[in-house]
Amino acid sequence: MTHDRERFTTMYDECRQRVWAYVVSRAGRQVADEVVSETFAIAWRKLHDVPQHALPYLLGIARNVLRENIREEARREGLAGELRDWVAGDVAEQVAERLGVLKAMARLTQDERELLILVVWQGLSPRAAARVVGCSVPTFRVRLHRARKRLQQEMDQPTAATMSRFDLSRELS
Amino acid sequence: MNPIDDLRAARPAHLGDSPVDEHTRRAELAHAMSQGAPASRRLKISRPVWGLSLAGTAAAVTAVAVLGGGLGGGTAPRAPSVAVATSPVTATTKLSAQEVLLVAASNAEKQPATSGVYWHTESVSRTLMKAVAGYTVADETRSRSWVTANGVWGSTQQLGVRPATDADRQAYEAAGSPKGIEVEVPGKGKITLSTQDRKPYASHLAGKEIFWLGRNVTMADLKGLPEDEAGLKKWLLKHYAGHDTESDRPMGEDAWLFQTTSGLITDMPVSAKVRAAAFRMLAALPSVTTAGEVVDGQGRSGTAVAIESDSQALKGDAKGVLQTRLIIDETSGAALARENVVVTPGGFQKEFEAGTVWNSSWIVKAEWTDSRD
Repeated sequence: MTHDRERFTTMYDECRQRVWAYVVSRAGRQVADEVVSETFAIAWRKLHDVPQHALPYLLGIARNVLRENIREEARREGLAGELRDWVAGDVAEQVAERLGVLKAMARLTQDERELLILVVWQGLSPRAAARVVGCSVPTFRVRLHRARKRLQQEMDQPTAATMSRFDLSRELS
Repeated sequence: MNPIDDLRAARPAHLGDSPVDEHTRRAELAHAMSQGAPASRRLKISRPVWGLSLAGTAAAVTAVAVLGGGLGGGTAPRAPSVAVATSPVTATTKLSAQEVLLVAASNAEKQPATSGVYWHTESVSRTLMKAVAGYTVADETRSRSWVTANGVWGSTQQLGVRPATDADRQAYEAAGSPKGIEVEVPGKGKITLSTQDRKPYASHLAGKEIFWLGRNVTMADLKGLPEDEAGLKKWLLKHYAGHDTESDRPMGEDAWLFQTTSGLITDMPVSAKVRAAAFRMLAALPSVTTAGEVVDGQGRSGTAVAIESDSQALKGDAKGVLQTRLIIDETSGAALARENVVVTPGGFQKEFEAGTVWNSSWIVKAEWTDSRD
């Protein structure tokens, strides 16, 4: 039991903020603490099944918790607020390119954005990330490649169709 | 500039790795650990498959991308080692790689054109791992796919992990023939793999970009490929920028062409002329060598043409050298398998001797069919 507690605490310290950041990028800060708390409660009960490299496993749990415990409407609202923050931010500190990428990210679909976040911001391997989103690695690679191309496209020349994808298009344009 | 680098640099500060505040930390830890004791362990189903997966689809190159750390690193291809280990070699090298590929090219060209509703491929991939108990086990996956111009249906089945050789089987039986075998995965620790085959799982990916040739391509793209080696090389290199396509890992031009073209030759429904052009193009690459006649894991003999690369190393480990080879039946111009052979142990292959076929993907079927079963 002592050993379990130690292992769990180490895992928590290593991964907590990463799980939080993932949840925030999916549903905003409002619900993030609640989802993270529940994620680790589940992880504790399943501790003996949690692999050594725990992050992908934890992100997978968080993804389920988000889907099952948080209403879609709340998720969407939270996300809209979060994306608005990305592109508003601290004006002084925002460099033009940085802003361009984040605006482009905000215009992607939820799924496209998630793949890029898992791989680029969370540093997951395609295999680990595929496990989080529940698809095969080959499928993941194709989707990732598409998402990356879409990001580039949105950075180069955003289209009218995607500019209006979110309610926040006005703030973004 | 690479959008991935831009994106990495643009991560909002609050999504970075700042520490959690102590109040939240204490509350969340207490909440979690008040849920009773952790449940007892069940057999894990997760497994570290680095295998060459789903032949025939955009994933054809997965393995190389996953396991080849710095394929032909830099822009200069890696020079072949003096002593290339090739354990299952049954005859000494008679033809040069160039000659083998040119023979394959002219025979590929003679194959009659076929057609059907689905382009169907079936492959079995296998990766060796070291059991904690000391013996070697093989982890295998069977993948089948059916491709049309508008999508790909796939079926993937993890086969139970099993002892790799007779000697390994003896060691396994001496250990009581456990239903779960504990293996050590470099960088990830120990996990237990089941010896039972798992149920196949199906997947479907809708979309026209279903093949991978250094970028996602469509069935129409494949039909439009140049039929001469110079044109094909130019077409492929259009998207080569000195690095792997899905990462910034440096990759030499020859290695890049070998990787993309292997997929084309093994998995894709291209015309006989394009296939021949692919063989001729590979024949002209200076760093492609022959590894002689080999028998693949399905008992079929063919000739291996190969390229070497540095293996992927974990932090603090020395890099090894891996040989990636394409086994072809030059009399028909058909590809039989892709394999990775340990040349110098290191990284993920540090437990394996030189000459070990560490990872293979055998092409069992690659044909047009009219039904999806």
